[in-house]
Amino acid sequence: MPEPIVYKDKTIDLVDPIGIPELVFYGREDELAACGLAWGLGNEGKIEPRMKRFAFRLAGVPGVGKNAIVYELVSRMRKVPGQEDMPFYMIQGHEEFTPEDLALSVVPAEEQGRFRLQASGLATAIYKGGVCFVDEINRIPPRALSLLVSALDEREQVFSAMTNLWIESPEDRTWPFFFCCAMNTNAGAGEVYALPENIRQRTLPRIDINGLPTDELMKVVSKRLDTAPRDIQQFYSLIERIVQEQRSQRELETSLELWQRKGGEAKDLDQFLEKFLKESPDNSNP
Amino acid sequence: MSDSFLSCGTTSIVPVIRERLSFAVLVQRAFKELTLAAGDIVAVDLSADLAPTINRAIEENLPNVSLVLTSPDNDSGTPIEAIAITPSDGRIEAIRSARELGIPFAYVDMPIAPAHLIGRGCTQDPEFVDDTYVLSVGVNRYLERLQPIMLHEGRLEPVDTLRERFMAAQVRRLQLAYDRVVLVCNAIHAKPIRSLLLSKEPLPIRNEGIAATVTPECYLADAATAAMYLDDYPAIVQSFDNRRANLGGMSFDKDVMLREAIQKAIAHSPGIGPSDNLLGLPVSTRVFIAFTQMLDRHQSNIGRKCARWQDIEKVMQGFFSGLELRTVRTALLKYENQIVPTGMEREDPKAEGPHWVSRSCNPYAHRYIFGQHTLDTGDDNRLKLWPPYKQHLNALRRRAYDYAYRRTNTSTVSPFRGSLEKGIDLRRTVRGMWQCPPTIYVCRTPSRFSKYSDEPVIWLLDDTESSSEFHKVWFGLVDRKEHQFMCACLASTDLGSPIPERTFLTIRKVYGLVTFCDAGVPLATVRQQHGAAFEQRVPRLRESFSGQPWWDVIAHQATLRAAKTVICVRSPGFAFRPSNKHPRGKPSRLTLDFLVPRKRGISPQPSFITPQGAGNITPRD
Repeated sequence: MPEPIVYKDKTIDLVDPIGIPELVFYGREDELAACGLAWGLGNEGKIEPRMKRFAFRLAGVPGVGKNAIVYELVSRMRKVPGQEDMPFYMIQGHEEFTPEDLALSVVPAEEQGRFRLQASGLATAIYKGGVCFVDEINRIPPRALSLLVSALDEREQVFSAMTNLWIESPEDRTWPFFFCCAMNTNAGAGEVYALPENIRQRTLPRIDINGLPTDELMKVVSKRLDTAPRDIQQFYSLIERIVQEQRSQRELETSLELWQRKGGEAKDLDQFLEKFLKESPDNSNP
Repeated sequence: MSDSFLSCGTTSIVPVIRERLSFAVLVQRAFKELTLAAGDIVAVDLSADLAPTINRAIEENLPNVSLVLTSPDNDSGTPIEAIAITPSDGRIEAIRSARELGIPFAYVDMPIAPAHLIGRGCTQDPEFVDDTYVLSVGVNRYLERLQPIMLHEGRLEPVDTLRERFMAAQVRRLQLAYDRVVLVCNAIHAKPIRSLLLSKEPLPIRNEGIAATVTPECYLADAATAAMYLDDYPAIVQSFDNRRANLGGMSFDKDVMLREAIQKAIAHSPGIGPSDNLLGLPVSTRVFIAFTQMLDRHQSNIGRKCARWQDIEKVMQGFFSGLELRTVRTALLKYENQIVPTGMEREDPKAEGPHWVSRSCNPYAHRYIFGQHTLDTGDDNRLKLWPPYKQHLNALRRRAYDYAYRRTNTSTVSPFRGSLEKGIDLRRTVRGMWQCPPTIYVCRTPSRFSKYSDEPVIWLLDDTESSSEFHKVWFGLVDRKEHQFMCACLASTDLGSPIPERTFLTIRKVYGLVTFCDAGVPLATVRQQHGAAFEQRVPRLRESFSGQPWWDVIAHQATLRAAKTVICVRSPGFAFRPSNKHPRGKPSRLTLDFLVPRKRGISPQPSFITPQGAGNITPRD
């Protein structure tokens, strides 16, 4: 149930933090270190409140694990004693996004004929603190993104034109406000916008995420299957081909999951991978 | 207690690590703090038998880098010791400053046969304590951090102990004759010598058995070698050298200078702005501040103060484009740019060839290359270039000279088929000189166009039927008015508003144009080729047309200016029906031919050379 607060004489419902998907994660230590550096995290993900937090941007083609890196980063932060309850909010970018979707929106209340004010994940994260992650930021129209400007600089506030309210953090906020976003870099990923310069400058550093090297992808697949294939050499060479052909990690993992659900066994893994390689690559997001 | 030197009665010890700029600054700082005067003496841990040669190198060559080599007289097969005379070395800075201040100086190290120095480790260690720290934390704390490394890897026993005792004895002798002694020595010897000086133990001088008569020789290092002895960034050493006179470099901060150099390089970058910004905006203060903060954090994480190039590169990638990265790289590492180090690295003692040793080896590898090649044209004197940079430029010139002119190369004769066509392609041939075997490249004209070398080509790019809007037709482009004319109209400029207000873009959709095959030839050549017919052949002015569709106008103009042929490249939507009437009403001399467009997946369609003028090219239904 959303948590209502009274903010400048208006009752606003905050959004609930979301859980982090449990994913098989392996490697990406350099990328995680770069993300931690941008947020000024200490050892093992300890929050350093005095450090300036940069809103980093992950860039890469679909399926290389950008979201997984964010989930892993947040889950590592949550493993630090005292940080277990740090909230995580996620916003999915799309072409129909409006400015109010980033601030406050009016939604039907439970009572018949009434409406209530619902804060976005961004507004909630600014108010309560925590991590706000905007996925597919370059699918959001530039006019909607303009609201991010005040959120991503020293002000840390967001303006709702509909209610004429600046939503900002209270002095006794529990958590610092962390922001990060992800964008697809391939032109074939549907309609995307060039990031406006003011947003681009506020979402630096840009951390490029490339495909996993063969060794790491092999370990991810092995972990995912929770078993080992019969012929490790053949398995390795098949994974190497998958890396060389730049097939999406997500695509491979999804196919593996489907295959497992249909009763696929480790002994038939080689055949499955052979079949996977023969299929035409598809880089678009599901 | 001072942060610049270790005190020991009337003696002050300034520990240095060779060829690191921060220690040259430290020496200046110590000298300033001690306010050296008559009655003081500066002692350095260099061997007295090398003094004349080193003095001469300092006097005559600096700031150019020289290498003083020692080799025993009696045997040319034994190791050679090398000492680099570079402006970034603390000991050399001590001698230079002492000379400038009129303070006497002495060489107090023990003469050693180079063979006794075999075994001293000299390897690359990326984790070596950043020398910049010595200026911020002081020599005591710096030596504490350095001690574990130096104890295990830096010492060569028993030679180092003997040397320390020898140097301590020499300093004691100097103490008797001078008010104060400032000893500038390798960091590894600083504390042991201090202990020896503080003790009351007699120090008899014994160097029998390891001393040898040597004949030192001084060589000017070539540009590639010099770059290796000028700290991490030769450009920063240049800044220091420019301000070091009369202890003016004592406040020099390598880290600050490095950041200034980066900022200047980015500001002057001719690039197109940060990585995904294609608007050509200058780098903003916000981005630069963010970059600086991230660099600080990175440095703090890895425990370094002054950034190495690989760290700068790593952090820059998140903020700037590749072009800006290259600009900064060129600015910081300009001495290394384009010069491939080809020197001999001191590595395996069992390897064949000369064996190089150094008595003050530290974990930075060193290389030696010799040569005194200069190709001085004298032009640089007017520019007052820093001598090592001038030497670097000379090295580049020399390499270009080598490319172009190799007197010692043996001639190669091989059968040649074909023709020289438009002559030798000098640029490609010179660039290919390093390839094996060398290849001669020839400038060629595409054969399929040779027969139409200066005839107009019509490009019908769009099959729209949008009529006879004459305002769409004009002749000539802005810069190439004489070469082509085209049909185009303003296209929509709505790009989803990623463009700031002050950027103006004009986008025109090109429907068709006429070009000449010789469009790449200078205008003077075209005039020369066509002579009096130039004005007829090349359209220059707007002409009035009425009632004709644009494709007719274009084809008409091309036909008027053709000598024999008009080449037409068309999109699949256009059909062509040749007219029987020449636009000027003259008998036609034009021939028929066709070309096949292969562009953007358009299926090949034969297009036509107009035999009798234009007028009937129409879009297909």
